[in-house]
Amino acid sequence: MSIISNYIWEKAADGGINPVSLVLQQVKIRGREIDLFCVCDSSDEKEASMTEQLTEWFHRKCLPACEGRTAPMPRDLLEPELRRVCGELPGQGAWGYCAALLVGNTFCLCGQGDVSAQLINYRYNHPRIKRLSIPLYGRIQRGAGLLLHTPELIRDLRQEEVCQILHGKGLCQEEGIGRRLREMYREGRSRGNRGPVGGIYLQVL
Amino acid sequence: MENITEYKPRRYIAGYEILEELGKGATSRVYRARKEGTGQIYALKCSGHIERLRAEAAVLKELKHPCFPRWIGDGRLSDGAYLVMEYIPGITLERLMEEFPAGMAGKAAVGIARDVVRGLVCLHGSRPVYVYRDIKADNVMIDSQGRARLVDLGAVCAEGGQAKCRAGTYGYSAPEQFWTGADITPACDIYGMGKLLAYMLTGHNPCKPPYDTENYCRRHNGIGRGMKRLLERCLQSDPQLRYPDASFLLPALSALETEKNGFRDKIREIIGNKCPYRYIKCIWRSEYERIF
Repeated sequence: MSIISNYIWEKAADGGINPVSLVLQQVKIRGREIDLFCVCDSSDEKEASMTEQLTEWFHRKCLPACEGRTAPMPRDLLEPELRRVCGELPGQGAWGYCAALLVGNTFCLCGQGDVSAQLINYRYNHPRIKRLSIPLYGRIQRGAGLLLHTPELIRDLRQEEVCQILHGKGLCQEEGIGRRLREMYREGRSRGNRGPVGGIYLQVL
Repeated sequence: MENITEYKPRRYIAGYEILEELGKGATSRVYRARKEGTGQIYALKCSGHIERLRAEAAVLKELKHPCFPRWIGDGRLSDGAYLVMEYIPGITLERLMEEFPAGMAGKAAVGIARDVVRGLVCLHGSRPVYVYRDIKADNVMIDSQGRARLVDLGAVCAEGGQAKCRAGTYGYSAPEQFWTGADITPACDIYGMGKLLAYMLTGHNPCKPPYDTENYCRRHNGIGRGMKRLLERCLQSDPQLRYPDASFLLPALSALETEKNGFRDKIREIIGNKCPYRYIKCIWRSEYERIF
């Protein structure tokens, strides 16, 4: 099992600062893939600090913890770290994040605020999309796709349209995922979304 | 329809016509400028910090090394000072690294590093000994002949005394550059050189998280053992354990360039010393970066 991913990160139509910060970290240790994905949205630079701290933690603590023969549960790794990071962050402004840690085929999805996660999978050859409740722990299956995003990315699109865009050929390559995400962004822009967007899509192969 | 041409007023500073802005720092701006009369193109740096720019001009005037831009002139303005230097056409190493997201070949990286270290040998060998303090990919220009040259000597200070103001870039700067009261020595530049070399080899920008370059290099499959040893010594947090100055680093780099790995070494590297990590992706995207 392997995972491919790509992201979209675009400023608002009138420029300015994008308050969204993204992390995509994928490392393979002894054949086991360890991945961290996070989308964080805030208005007071908190998002940069959070994703920065998570990235540092991933490389300094999480990867060494996954070096052993038996893989630790992603939940045991991610949850305490998120508690620590969120507790230390300054500022009172509204913010939201969604973070996913995958160790092999087990995953842990945590978050708060309006950044959400959608699961796209195929049942009886039909793509289906489902908004995931957070927190969520479990195993991810081959063929599934996970979209972590800020609300602006799909606000003006119907669920079926998102499903339609994120389905079909070309999703087994990173460039293909990037193209689909940009298509989704353009579609949203054409329907009146002027705000900044950020999102990560990962596909399990 | 009438063809309307946009009118742009020409801007002059001290007899130089400003053509475009090349870069902007915290306290200064650098322009590409044309000298009135001769039409020669130069780099013109303007700053409100008169003393700092004057010190930079003095260092540049003193240094005669192909690694640094030539000093042409300097002077005062009504609201600051200016410095005219040789204009180096080319691209920055930072821009070049965009073409190598997974790092460049070892030979190319060592070639660039040697050019930079030659310049540092000149700085560290001068009297008084100067420390560059701000080695980073943005300050290395690759000129049209493919040679690496160091630009922006705004952070240069003399060794020994504590620097009057902090300078450097988070991620590249040696730990002692953050401490108040610590002596600034040429070993600071050795640390920066280690970071720069690691960046060229791995494609991992030390200014972006994870800032953990040391572990990153140790785990990286694509770096040979000789280079790992060299990087380890450059990136020691204790300045006493690093190469004392660039004149010690240069032969180590040259030895690495000419080093021929024996077959046995190669086998040992493949079988015995195989690193378990394989980095697939390392992306961090944000509007803000950590400021030193």
